Amino acid sequence: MAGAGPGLLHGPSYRLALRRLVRSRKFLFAALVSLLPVVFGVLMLVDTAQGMESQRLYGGGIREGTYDTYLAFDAAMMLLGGTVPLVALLLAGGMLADDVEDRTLSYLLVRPVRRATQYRSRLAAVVTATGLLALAQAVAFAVFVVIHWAVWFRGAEYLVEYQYVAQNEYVLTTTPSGPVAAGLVLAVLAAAPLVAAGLAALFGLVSLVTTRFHFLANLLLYGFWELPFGVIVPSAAPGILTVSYGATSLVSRALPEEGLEPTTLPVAVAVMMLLFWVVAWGTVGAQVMRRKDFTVTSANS
Amino acid sequence: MSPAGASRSGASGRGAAALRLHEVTRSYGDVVAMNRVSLELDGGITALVGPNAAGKRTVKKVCTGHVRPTTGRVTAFGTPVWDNPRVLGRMGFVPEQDAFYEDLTGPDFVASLARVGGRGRREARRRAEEELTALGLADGFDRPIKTYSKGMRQRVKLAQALLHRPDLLLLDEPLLGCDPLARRRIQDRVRALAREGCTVLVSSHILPEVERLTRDVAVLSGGRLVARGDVRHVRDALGNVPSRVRVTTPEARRLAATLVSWDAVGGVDVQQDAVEVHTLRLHDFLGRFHAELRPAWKVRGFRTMDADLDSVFDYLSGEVA
Repeated sequence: MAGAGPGLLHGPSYRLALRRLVRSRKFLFAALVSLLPVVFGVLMLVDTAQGMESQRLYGGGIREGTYDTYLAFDAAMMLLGGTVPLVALLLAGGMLADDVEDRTLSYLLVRPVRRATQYRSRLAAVVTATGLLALAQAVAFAVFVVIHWAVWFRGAEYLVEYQYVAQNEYVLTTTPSGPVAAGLVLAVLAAAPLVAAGLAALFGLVSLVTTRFHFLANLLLYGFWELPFGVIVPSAAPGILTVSYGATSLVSRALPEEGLEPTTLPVAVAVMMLLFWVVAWGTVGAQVMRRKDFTVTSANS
Repeated sequence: MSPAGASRSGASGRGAAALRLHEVTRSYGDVVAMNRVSLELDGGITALVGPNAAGKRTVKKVCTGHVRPTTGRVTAFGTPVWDNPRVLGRMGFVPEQDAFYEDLTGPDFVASLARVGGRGRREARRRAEEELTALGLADGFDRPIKTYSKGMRQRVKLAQALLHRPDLLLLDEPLLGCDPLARRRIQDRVRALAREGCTVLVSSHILPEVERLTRDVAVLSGGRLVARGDVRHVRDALGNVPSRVRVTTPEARRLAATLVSWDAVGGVDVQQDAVEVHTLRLHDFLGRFHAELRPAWKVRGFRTMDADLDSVFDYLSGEVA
């Protein structure tokens, strides 16, 4: 039998991993999680329709007759910082740990495919599944934004800034809202699959190293590192070392306000950063896989 | 019997041995699972036997590249096993664990692994069905593996290992849970492969089953390879090693007086409720002890003191005799 040399990917390993992943219960669960943005979007649209008056009370830039992107921006961040990472956590978390737990890894370790190639192929399968679900969420987000902007706000001007002058008197700085809405949509469409891939590579690596405690380890990593520094406070210095930082930057760039997110990167740099993390964590994972001992044991051992 | 670490002469004529372990030690923390094991296989069927926790599974793990030796070297066909597609492509492995992609059918499972092993789609499917049929799974295999009986599952495991006609086959408890018919089919298939030149290493704790496959055994005990050769020679040799047996009885002094007259007994230590027997012929002593003393004396307990060696001996003498 011919052995697979040091190729980047191994097609049959990729297809087998993808097939098993897509047929798994956790993929079904991840798909359900991916529906959450749709639910949130519908609720927000209903809320916006019913609460235009009450929103004015916040006084935070929402004015009748101007397009409000705060909801869209928040939805984008919930998607990129919440549901997409959760999908990545579910699908990539058990990338190899599941095979160790169900003891089927033995069959793959004795196939004539280099361990690093097997790892990359499996990661590619996880990235495919995670990326597709993230893209589906981004499309749902796009639909939500388009309805929000076109139907609810009828393409009204986007409010960049308002200054209080006197009671009931404001000076408004506005700009056409179409490019803002389109920018948000494009940013999320690009960022969602990329951040999903980057996080999948990171979670896959952690799963490989921790094996049995992969879910908890990944949850802690995300909750105490990625989320605070990459999503919530991306301006903090460590943020640049997180996978999520690039996605946050892309979305922030779509808003025209200066200083909304002071650490926003140029679009190309943000995209390159996201790609870099996929390659970097994937490469580290492949190297770990090359050296790792797998004590796959029988139930009675 | 050959000394531990000796090899069988090359039957395959391939030059380098099909499998060679040279002074292999594998530790897990403070636990030494394999201790300087040297073993060479080239052709034929060799059984790896030993009591529980002897290190059989660790041997399989290092031979299949699941774990690396802490020290020493494992080669197959002259090259290292670890992460080596050339070697793995010539190797078949049947793990002990009863694990599958349960939702797949038997042919799908075997064909999927054959695809990963480099076969084309159609060829993989065809060979999977051929191999399953050869193992007696012609009927009723086109349903999810989770509905299979234990014997069917064992044969699926074997089929995935045989499909590419390996030159080196490692079997871990291949007959576990099989009915007599399935056992016979698996044994016939393995014997046929060995006749064709495949080197087979089979581990099992059901020695009579192993004996139907081969007389060549490698005995592991406490992580060490303690014997290698024909099973009867191994058993005899192990019986001639100094050993101690502790017999608990309220009649310790009387029993000791009886035992010192036995040829197989080298000495006795009398304690309050026990006699510790020293023997150079454990096999003979145990045979006479069980035949004459146990029925007639109030023996409350009986324990061999040299756990490693004696457990191997008990294992061999108990199972084979």
